[in-house]
Amino acid sequence: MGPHRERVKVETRGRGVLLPDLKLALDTSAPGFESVVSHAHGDHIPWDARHAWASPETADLLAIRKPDLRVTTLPWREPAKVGRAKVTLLPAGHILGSALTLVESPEGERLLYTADTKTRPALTTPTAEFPEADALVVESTFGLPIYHFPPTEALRATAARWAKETIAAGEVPVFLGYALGKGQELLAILHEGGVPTVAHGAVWAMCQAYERHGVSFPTTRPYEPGKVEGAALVVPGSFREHPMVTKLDARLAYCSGWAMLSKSRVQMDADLLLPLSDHADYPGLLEIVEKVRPRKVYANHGYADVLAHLLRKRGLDAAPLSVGHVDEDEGGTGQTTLEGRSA
Amino acid sequence: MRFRDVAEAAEAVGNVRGTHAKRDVVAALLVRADDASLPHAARFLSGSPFARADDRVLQVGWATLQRAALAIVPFDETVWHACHRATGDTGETLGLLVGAYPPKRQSAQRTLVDLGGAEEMSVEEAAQTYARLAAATAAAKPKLLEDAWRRMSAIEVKYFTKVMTGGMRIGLAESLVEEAIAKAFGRDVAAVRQANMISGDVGETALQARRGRLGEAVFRMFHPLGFMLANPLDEAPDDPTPYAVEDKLDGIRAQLHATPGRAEVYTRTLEEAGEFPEIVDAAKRIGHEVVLDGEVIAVRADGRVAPFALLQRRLGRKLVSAALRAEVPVRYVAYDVLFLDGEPIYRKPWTERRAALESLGLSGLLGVSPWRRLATKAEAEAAFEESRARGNEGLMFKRVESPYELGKRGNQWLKLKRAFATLDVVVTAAEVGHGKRAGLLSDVTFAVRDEGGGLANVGKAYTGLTDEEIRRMTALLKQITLERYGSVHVVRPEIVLEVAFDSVTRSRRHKSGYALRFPRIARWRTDKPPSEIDTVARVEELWRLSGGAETSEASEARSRR
Repeated sequence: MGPHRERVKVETRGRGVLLPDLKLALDTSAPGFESVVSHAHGDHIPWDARHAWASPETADLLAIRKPDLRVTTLPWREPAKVGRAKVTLLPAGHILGSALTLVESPEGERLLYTADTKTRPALTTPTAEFPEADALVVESTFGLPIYHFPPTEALRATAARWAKETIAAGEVPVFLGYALGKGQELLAILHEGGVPTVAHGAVWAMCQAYERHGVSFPTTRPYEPGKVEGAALVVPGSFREHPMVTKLDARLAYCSGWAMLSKSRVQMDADLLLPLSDHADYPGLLEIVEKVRPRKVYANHGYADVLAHLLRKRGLDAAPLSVGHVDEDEGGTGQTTLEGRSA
Repeated sequence: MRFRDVAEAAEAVGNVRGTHAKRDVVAALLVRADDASLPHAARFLSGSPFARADDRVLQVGWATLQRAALAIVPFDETVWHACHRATGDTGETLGLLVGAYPPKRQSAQRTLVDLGGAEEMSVEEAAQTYARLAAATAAAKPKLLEDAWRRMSAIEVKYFTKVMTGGMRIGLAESLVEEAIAKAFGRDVAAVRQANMISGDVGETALQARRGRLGEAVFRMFHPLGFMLANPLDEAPDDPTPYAVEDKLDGIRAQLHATPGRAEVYTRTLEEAGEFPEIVDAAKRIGHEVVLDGEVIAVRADGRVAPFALLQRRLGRKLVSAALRAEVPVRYVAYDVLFLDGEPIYRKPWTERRAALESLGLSGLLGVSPWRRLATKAEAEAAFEESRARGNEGLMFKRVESPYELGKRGNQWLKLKRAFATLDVVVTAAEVGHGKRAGLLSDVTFAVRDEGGGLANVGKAYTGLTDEEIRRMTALLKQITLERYGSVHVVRPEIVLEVAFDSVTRSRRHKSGYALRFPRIARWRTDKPPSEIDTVARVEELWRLSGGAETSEASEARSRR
């Protein structure tokens, strides 16, 4: 070995990452590898795995989403031996249970895998804690400088004000957000803003898991047909064309980082665009890189190649990791992205 | 008024739903605008820096925009392109970047458009900046643009740029601005539209509306007026006596503006048609200042009308060679006159206008359409067959006492075309074809207009165009693509097609509530703007005529709006 420690090799597999030297599979699985799951969103669950490591909250959610997966829980902030490596989970600030995965090789090389993360505080999940590391695999869903989300306080105020105005006008404010994570955050924001809420079944089911881990929804009730008056309805985005919404005198709020773009108004047929995201925006991504102080950055997902380019311009050693980075023609905001993934 | 006020109104228009709410936002702004700002504000909100009748063009292309943009944002071309691809709009991209990374401000004193050192750009300064951009050389434009942007906030940059690139994308058509003018100043919408049509300037129209002088709108030659349009007939009228009857020519509807020094041909898309230089030359020799309505047709050697397909070979050509002129000789057949030597005569009855037209003594390449009066339905039916035998499309019936109704379709004019009608539709989406047409956008979804002025899909067609036409249309479709969902391109509704079909059925599949059986593309109507496509009401009428059949198609949930 030379003056620099040997770098841990990083490869992509599906939407996850493999560290072949350490036989670790992050948000994926491979024969002979130990799987570590960052959080319980569908695109991060190793569907082929039979055993995995995860945070206590994520283990609970995985029991609902993939009951046949045997999960060993890793306590927060405590290094644990997983295969050849030492693994530490730290809050990622994305959704309940979401973790940054800090991996230490036997040679002492530290790699941080962010999976999905945000830097801003939220009401329903602890704020992310970024440690220093030699290598950083950072998500780049919103890795373009046009993505500067408005201040969180302003977004929360807008959500509550708009909901109240809509109710006052005799209509039903309907918030479109992912069933796990965004849905609960919206419920909490509306509660804080004094707006009672009704949660669609898929959102409500996940609320139960949040409550087991100390996040409560005192002014939320589960959806019952015909009983939404005087409350805001929170439903998964795919329900915007469902009769439970279309039969109402409804106004729609589209709540996602993609709501930064005015074209999403037409795509989602939305009255209000609320760029409230569970991901880091571009300044957030820069903040992560500053805090982690890595020697090498791998950008993963979304605008991986552009973010790597921007980081190189800032003097960092950066490369895109994902092979299937954003298709030039799709621009990263096609229908698949809007509806299929949480943002 | 500050340009910022206009930008904020435009943003508000984009944020509210429904045409009434949008109109009211615009009306409130127009009421607030001072006299000097009002004309510009109305033009800007219509998405244009200048009056429609104004010949000036900005000539600011992608390269200029990019050069100026890269001078004010701290990013390179790679990042700019990625951001632009994400938003799909130059103004929006720049607005977002300038908002997040404010460039070093330029003080008013240092710019060319200084009007007394006001810190914020006024509406008039914005207008002057557009004027300077239009007048500047290509080399000088980027710097001019950069300096202007440096004086603006993000929202001003966004909308200043959107006006330049010709698309506000806030759901605000000029017709809605006309409604806002009417509302703002308590005038009749029809009077506002008429004044705007004649003056070719929505800005001047706004000012005249405020002053109560809409009736004094002054016509300027060389901007096209709306064509009077005919309702379709399915059979000859029982009583043809109120009408003058002419053959319906199968050519290009064309408005001819002529003075001894200059002449222009305008088509239904209200654009200048440069394909007929010999007609322009002949028109300069009319010896009057005149606006004519008529048809450009291709003629055979023996003087008879040639099929439309021959004429089509001249369309879309930038340069018309002598060989092509010889191969496809054309004539202009006039059938109406709207202005004569400075006098508006379009409000006079058809008989008087026809007398004026015949007094012009048109000759050579310029002719006058023959007409006659018919006494019975049987005579009209015979006349229809004779017209078809002459190679024409059918008959036109024009009420002899009717005025020329600019830009309107009505029952004053009627057209009798063929046994079963075709529909003029606009393409809303296209899909990549298979086999021989792989890689080409050969399968198109098309729409008619619904009651609310929106579009309602009515069918999908696969065949009917030549391979060459499909290639040309594919290139165009790619340019006007708004979104892509896999192989499906959702496009800006700009391409007008005439579709033929066997019958109309009820359908839940399409938003219109109807579907065409065996639709095929009869021709590509490059001569028609999307504003003149057929309506759902017309489809319903054809459905009744074709037997009013219901289908057993499984009902699909219709979207809520």
